[in-house]
Amino acid sequence: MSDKGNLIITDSQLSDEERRTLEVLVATMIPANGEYKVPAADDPKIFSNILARSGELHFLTEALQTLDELSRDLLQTDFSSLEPEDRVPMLEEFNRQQRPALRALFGIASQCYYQDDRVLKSLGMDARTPFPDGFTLEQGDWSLLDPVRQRPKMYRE
Amino acid sequence: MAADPVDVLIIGAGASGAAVAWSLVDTRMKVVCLEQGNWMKPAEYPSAGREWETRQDYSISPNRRGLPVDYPVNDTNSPISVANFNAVGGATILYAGHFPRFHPGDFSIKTLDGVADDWPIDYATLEPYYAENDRMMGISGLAGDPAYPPKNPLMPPVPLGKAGERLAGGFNSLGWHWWPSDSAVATEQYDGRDKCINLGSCTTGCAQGAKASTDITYWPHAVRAGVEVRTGCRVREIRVNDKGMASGVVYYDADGVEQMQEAEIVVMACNGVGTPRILLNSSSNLFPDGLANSSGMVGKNMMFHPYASVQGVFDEPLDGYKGPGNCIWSQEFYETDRSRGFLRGYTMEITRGRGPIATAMTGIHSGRVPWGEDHHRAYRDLFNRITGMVMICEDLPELHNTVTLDPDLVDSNGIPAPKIDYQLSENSRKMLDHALAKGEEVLRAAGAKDIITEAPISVGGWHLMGTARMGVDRANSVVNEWGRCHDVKNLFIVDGSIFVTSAGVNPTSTIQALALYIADSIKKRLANLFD
Ligand SMILES: Cc1cc2nc3c(=O)[nH]c(=O)nc-3n(C[C@H](O)[C@H](O)[C@H](O)COP(=O)(O)OP(=O)(O)OC[C@H]3O[C@@H](n4cnc5c(N)ncnc54)[C@H](O)[C@@H]3O)c2cc1C
Repeated sequence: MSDKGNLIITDSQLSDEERRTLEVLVATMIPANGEYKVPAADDPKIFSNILARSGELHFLTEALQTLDELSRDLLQTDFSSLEPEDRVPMLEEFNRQQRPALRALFGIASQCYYQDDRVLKSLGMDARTPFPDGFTLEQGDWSLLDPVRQRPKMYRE
Repeated sequence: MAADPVDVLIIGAGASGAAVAWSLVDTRMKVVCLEQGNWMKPAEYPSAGREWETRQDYSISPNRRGLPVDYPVNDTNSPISVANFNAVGGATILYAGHFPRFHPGDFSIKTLDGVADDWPIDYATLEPYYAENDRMMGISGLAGDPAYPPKNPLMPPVPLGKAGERLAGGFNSLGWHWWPSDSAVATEQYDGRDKCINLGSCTTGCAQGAKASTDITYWPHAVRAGVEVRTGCRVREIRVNDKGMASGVVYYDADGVEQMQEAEIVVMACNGVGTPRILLNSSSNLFPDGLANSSGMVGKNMMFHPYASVQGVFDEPLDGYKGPGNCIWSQEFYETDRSRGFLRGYTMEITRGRGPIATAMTGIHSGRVPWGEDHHRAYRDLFNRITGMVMICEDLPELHNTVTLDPDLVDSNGIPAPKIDYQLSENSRKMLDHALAKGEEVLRAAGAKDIITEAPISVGGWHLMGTARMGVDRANSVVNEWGRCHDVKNLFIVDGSIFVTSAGVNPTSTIQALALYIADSIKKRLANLFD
């Protein structure tokens, strides 16, 4: 275990370097946004959840290493050290080679991201469990059914 | 050591097992049900926690869940993978609760359309059992649907909501049929269940208890009346005596210890995959090709219902994560119209909306939500703005679509696992294409600005039918017209395996009506049941 602020982060299989690459990678995928007042996916709380689920991505270590190699080949530096404006083009290049891996990681990152209280609140949702309070659903306009009520029998015997 | 013999042994405590058990209690026979899964704890369902959209232990795929109660299914040779749930309640724990009946014509498609086979029973035979099952499950809906003979739902329909209203307008503008769905979601308090509070997560179990899963409908009544449910008990095989009658079953109990339970009558209720699996695992000298399989039809004619999904993206906020997945349906394209280039038809079922994570996944998989700076704007274009439908296409029985035993794969008790070989027919492909086009047409008419499609839904093997079919001719069917195996006179099958054809509707209402009908047939013949 290691500490980050008041969060406990469960050790994953990743080295410090790979973890740093992953942090920058998920923040490139889902960056912070001032207009919507939402953090990036490398926010400590969100990232700890991503790390906790990273075990589901059996290819992750290899993919992160390949991303760093690609970055070094093309721009002579690790992915995490790239200038911010170079990261998205690098990810696009990487995506041409490792599409399923990147998509799976994007999926996990999004799942952790869209469970975060701050993100949910910015979407107008209450940050709570659905049960026991539930939600309100309007009945809608049942008079819309009137023309269908006039239809003759449609089924065959 | 063998336990005392019982009168009736039911295998499987899902939709059909519960119904048959409840119905048989008034015989005062000793009824025991063996179920490999456990009783659920609704307070622990995902909607009672913050990870309500991501719990893998509630995945619809047994291979993904991989829980000790699950058995693996090799479905790599199928474009559609199997979805199920193994617990008291079976797949009704996760089902959406759409509760349509078959139509009268669905029982005689050979006569009407010259395809597949007619059932040996008809709608009129099942009608009282449909009604009884509606009462036990507590069904909501609205009388007067022109697509059906008269029926009387017990509770008002689930709300239209914004999504239903939008789409109803689309259907009306095209002059197409639609109607509020018959639904197993209680809209009022019913038989000890509370009414729906729109948790929006019916398919991971209803923490409110509004959705009629059989652990909270039939089973409490059956257990109170004396039926014993033994959980954590996985049946390996059915044994037969030298007269060719089922003598009982061999199973592994919750501690993994092999047990033998003798019984006068054995009833199989393990669904369209689990039942043929046990029959094929029960071969013997008398039945070398699997039990009750002299016709060779055990495991053949597997039907899934290929599903198409068409979702529309709208400009204004809709219901999003709120409300049951049941809403309205349309049977405009249900009956055969040869000019369409395929036989039979489909139901369009409106699926309302989706939660924040499901929205993200839809956006990612359809390429509409990118990574990078544009992520948030693109995501917000979809969030609360998606609604649409799935189309349930009638699947026709074909001999080459099969459940067999995998030569290598086994479950945690070492029992050979099922293998699915399934191909989409040309008829199904054409029907799916038609469904996609018509779905888009109505969504556009309702105001959708963008359309997201999938066909077939690859994870959508949630309807498992046809693998031990019913018929009067023992040369090409496994059970007779009242559910008794032609080959084994004290062995009955009550689950979706016995379907002759699949219709273009969800099957559970019909599965349970059949289970009640078969139970009644047993009760009426008790004096000479094995003749
Ligand atoms: C996600 C999802 C959504 C669905 N939505 C709908 C819907 O909206 N409407 C609808 O009509 N249907 C729906 N269905 C399908 C519906 O749930 C099934 O049709 C119904 O549950 C089948 O009933 P059954 O009795 O045949 O089998 P099941 O309900 O599957 O029950 C079979 C039981 O047998 C047990 N079993 C199997 N093998 C063994 C063994 N060897 N030993 C002991 N026990 C065993 C299993 O553990 C299971 O509990 C849905 C299903 C899923 C998964």
